[in-house]
Amino acid sequence: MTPFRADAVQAELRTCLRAARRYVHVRNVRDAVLKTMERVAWLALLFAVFFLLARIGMAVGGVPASGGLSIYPWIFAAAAIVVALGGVLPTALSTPSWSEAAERLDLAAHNHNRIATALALASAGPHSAFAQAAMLDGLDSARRLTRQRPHLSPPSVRSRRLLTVTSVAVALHVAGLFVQAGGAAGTARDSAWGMGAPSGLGRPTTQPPSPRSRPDAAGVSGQQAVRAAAAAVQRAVAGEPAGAQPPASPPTAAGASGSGGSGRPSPRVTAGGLAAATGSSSRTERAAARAHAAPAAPRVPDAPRAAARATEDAAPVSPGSSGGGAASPVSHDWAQRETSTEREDEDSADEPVDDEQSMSTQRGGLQPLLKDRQESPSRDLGMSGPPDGPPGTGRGGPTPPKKSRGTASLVLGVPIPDFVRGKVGPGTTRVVQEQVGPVAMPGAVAEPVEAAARRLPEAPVPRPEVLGELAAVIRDYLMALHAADRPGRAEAGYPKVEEPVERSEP
Amino acid sequence: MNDPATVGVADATAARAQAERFCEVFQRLKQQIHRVFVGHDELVETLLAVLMSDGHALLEGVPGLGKTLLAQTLASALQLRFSRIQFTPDLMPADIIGTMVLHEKEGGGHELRFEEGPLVANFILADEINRATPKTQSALLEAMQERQISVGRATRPLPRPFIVVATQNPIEHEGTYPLPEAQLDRFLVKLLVGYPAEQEYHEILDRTTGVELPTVEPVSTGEEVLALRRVVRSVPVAPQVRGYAIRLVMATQPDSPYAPSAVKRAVLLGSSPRGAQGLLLLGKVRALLGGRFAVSCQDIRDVALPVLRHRVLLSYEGHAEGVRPDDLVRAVLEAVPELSSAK
Repeated sequence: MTPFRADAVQAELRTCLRAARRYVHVRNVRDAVLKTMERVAWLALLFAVFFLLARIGMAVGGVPASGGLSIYPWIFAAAAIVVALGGVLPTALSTPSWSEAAERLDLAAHNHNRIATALALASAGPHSAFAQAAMLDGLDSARRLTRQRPHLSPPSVRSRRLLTVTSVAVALHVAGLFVQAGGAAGTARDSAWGMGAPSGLGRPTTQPPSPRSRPDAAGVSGQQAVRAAAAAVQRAVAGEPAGAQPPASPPTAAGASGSGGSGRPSPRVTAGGLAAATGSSSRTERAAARAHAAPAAPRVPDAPRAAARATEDAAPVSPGSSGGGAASPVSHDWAQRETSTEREDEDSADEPVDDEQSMSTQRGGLQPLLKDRQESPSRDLGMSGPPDGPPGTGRGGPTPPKKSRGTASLVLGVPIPDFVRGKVGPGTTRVVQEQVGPVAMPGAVAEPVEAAARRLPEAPVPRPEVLGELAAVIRDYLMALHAADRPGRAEAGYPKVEEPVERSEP
Repeated sequence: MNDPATVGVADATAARAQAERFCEVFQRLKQQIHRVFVGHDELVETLLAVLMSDGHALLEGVPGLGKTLLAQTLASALQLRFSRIQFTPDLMPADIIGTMVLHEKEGGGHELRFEEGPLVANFILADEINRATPKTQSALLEAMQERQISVGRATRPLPRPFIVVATQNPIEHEGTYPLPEAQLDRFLVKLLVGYPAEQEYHEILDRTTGVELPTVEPVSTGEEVLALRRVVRSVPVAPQVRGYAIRLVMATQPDSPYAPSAVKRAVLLGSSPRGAQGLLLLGKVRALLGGRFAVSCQDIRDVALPVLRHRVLLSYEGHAEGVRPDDLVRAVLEAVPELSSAK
């Protein structure tokens, strides 16, 4: 018999699998390209987000669009190339194995792994009769399925997702360009990426700075700001429109108003907005600004009073003082009382936690609340001290809270899931107590009598009616039942009650 | 160079002849069983595959579905020593294994002799096995795994072939003792006996309510079963198919990287390596029945449910959520890819 040659089987199997292997390789490369495209799309999205945020940040902060972002497209291109090469090259350079091609071919043809098994057995050790039969069987299958396309896994990249990511990236980038273009009215156009030419310093923005953004104290002259506010108040009293521009503010005042670095105040910015733009450097400034902005409100008669109050508050305040300056030696108590609420609100907006605590415990000399009561020192003079603290001093003091020893401490800490899923909890039990007066129960009442009299009234217990024949039967039964209690029962003629007799075995 | 299709033909022809012989005996046995037991073709085929794989089977179903009849019929179709043990709560291990009995010698004096219990047989029908106490159930452990029994200091081998077909009722839990995991793991498959179809009802009534009841003729012997078992074990398994079976078994273990989320959530213990052994052995039988000479991944998938369903121990969350082991095995089959390159 000719010995079995597994290498010949293996060679022919590979010949049959060549087309399938090539097809798998091509599809693998195509999948890798798609995956790379998706990665590049995500990368573009990331860059677009970064670009948009950077543009918004620069527009808000007034930072000049320097040439730092001009290399943005180059960075993106370099990253995209790196990602593309890293995703496609390894797949393109590595051809799929013969076994993978055989498995995919078997899977596509529902071939019960005949070809892959034959290939694996051909390259393995000793070949039993069944292994030889399996190899020949697989070889026959491979010859039949030469033109069969192998099974391929569905592509992991969805074209819809790829399009979506790409569209979002483009939209974000266009939005970033739009932000720059909208804020650069009258300035020079940027390059194609919107970052080419610097737009210069002091670009005004339409968005007012945040009230919490305090201006730099070095650039603010509080007295000058107060003078400007007082002038604005005077104009308001004189009946000028709210949007009127102050005549000629000194450069220092203009610098003080530009809290965010914007040296040129916009014509649309009112005096109120100006004061708001200066932040909270001085409450007097804000008060003056409020007084100046008051003519726009219906309460016109209040404006002089507010302006006067602002002037009084502002006069002794040193520049830059924000907290301690409120206790002005010349300020009146009534003014301080009236403005105290507003100041508390502003302070609470700045430091909410501290104000809450102070408001909760300090009651201005009134009796403290019960909930603020602190626990009295312990009388335990032991030397043990708290378990996780230093040893006790024997002088008492607060002790750690006592650990529970009740039923709750015996409950297991293991979370036990409920077997009844979706059952609504019973809720809290509500107990309603009502005062109800005593109500007499209906029914007859037996009158108490002396026991010795034996003359009880008829009990109110209802007795069933017994018919004549049934009464006779019951009477006979009861008489026969109790006949044993009376002597001479045989003579009385009552029916006998037979008793069981023990029978003895012969 | 010789044509690969013509070399080694003699060996391949011998393998084909053995496979054909296997299929012939298998179909004969199946035909005899179906003379009495109507329907449930897949169930009968799997039970015969267990017989050819040198395993044990656990039949579970409600009363009246013919579990005991199926086991009796299979035993009748084989010329084997058959024992039926009705498991009850007061059954003791010595009642099934045997015990030492004091005998009087002919020449005077006494001696201890071993009296074999009903376990010493080829075909054991353990009826309602979950009614016996764990002590008695555990007496089967050594017999089922090592095919031997130990009484006193003596270990006695059991006759070959040795197969245990146990039945249990899934609904009557009062007065029953669930099988311990070690015992369950020794059963190669757990087969669920369901209700017959409408047409099968007609056939059942025709056969069982007439004058002549169907009978079963023995069509095979123990020696032939042993020879067919050797044929089964000769079927090769390719590495990628073996890897697929291993991944399936590992996917039933909650700590495995192949385990799907359902297994991680609802399984306390997964299958043991016995599960992988069972997958391959039954897969070999299915390959032979399919006219193939090597196991395929589809063979593994076909036998995964009866092999793995009783080896998956549900966790507390799984019990609470009403998860069924069959659903978990199906989830594993969906989660584990067949391609070795896709893992």
